[in-house]
Amino acid sequence: MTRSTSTATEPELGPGPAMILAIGLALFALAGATYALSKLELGHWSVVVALAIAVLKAALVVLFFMELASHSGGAKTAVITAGLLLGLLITLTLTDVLLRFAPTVPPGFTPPTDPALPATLSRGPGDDEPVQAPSHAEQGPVLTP
Amino acid sequence: MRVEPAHAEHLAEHFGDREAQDTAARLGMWVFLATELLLFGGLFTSYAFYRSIYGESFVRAATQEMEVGIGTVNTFLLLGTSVLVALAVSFVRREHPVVAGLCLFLAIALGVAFLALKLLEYSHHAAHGALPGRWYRVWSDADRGAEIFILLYFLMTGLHAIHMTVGTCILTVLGFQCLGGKYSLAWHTPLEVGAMYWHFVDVVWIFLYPLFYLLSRR
Repeated sequence: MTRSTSTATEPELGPGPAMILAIGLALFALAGATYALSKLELGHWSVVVALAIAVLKAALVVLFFMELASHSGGAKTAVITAGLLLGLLITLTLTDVLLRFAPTVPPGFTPPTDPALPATLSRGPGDDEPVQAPSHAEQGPVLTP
Repeated sequence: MRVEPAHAEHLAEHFGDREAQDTAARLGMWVFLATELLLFGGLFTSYAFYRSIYGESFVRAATQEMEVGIGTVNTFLLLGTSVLVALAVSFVRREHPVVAGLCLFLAIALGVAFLALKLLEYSHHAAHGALPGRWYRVWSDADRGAEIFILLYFLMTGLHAIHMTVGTCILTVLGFQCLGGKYSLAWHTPLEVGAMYWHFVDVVWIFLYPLFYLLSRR
């Protein structure tokens, strides 16, 4: 049985200084773009644009500075799995905010309202008493400094 | 048949060869960073949850409390450190360990400048009463989510600053080792995985910057 031994081969050199500086300039430009775009009136798209640029910057760092592309499949699996699980966690959480059954909303929260839904919700067939969605007036005393 | 691997002095007994050991070291660091991602991910999820509910309050709190100038300068400082750390790895592979060490110490200087600016910013928040929890002093009934914004801001940037402090210590050790000629193209795995940790800290800030500093307009 022979074992492979580590030798200094060309691919192990990784990105050269010129390429690293070029990626650095791209990162600076993207950071500047993030700042400049925040000054524009993009409405709700501003956070989408800012996060899209952030994802691009993170991809440059992970692929070229952390050299994920040249690492093992196990490493790629670990990173991709963690990213997907985090995305799933955030997606499910935001889905809960958008679709939560009104009477279960904790006091003080004002979830996005859907005009198609009635303000008063019935607990189901057989319940005569309707359940009122909590309002700010029912939240008890308001703290003051 | 026993084969003596190259650079056996850096080879642990339970690894067959250097390649297997280096691959395991990189994989171990990636798995560690994946757990770090999920640690920060919980806080990013909290941020997404509360911002979806208190969107207007978050924007007002960010407009009033965040110092966009400091946040932007810190962003460029941290990106600069990542470039320098990547350059350090590149120079070691090209057999310039002293230049690599100098790159690391310059990166450390920029990292310390980042932390100093962060502390200055925290002191401004404290002077204004924008502190988390029971120390919050800028309450407005119309902005119920502002305190949560401040709480998340201190939690996330504070956790990030702790990681930066640890990373700075790691870079300091690696910097001295580079200057001492410990690393070369043939063996520099500790430098490589240490650099990965620093880049991860940079990636976290890449997301913190727009989420906390650039909410002045929606």
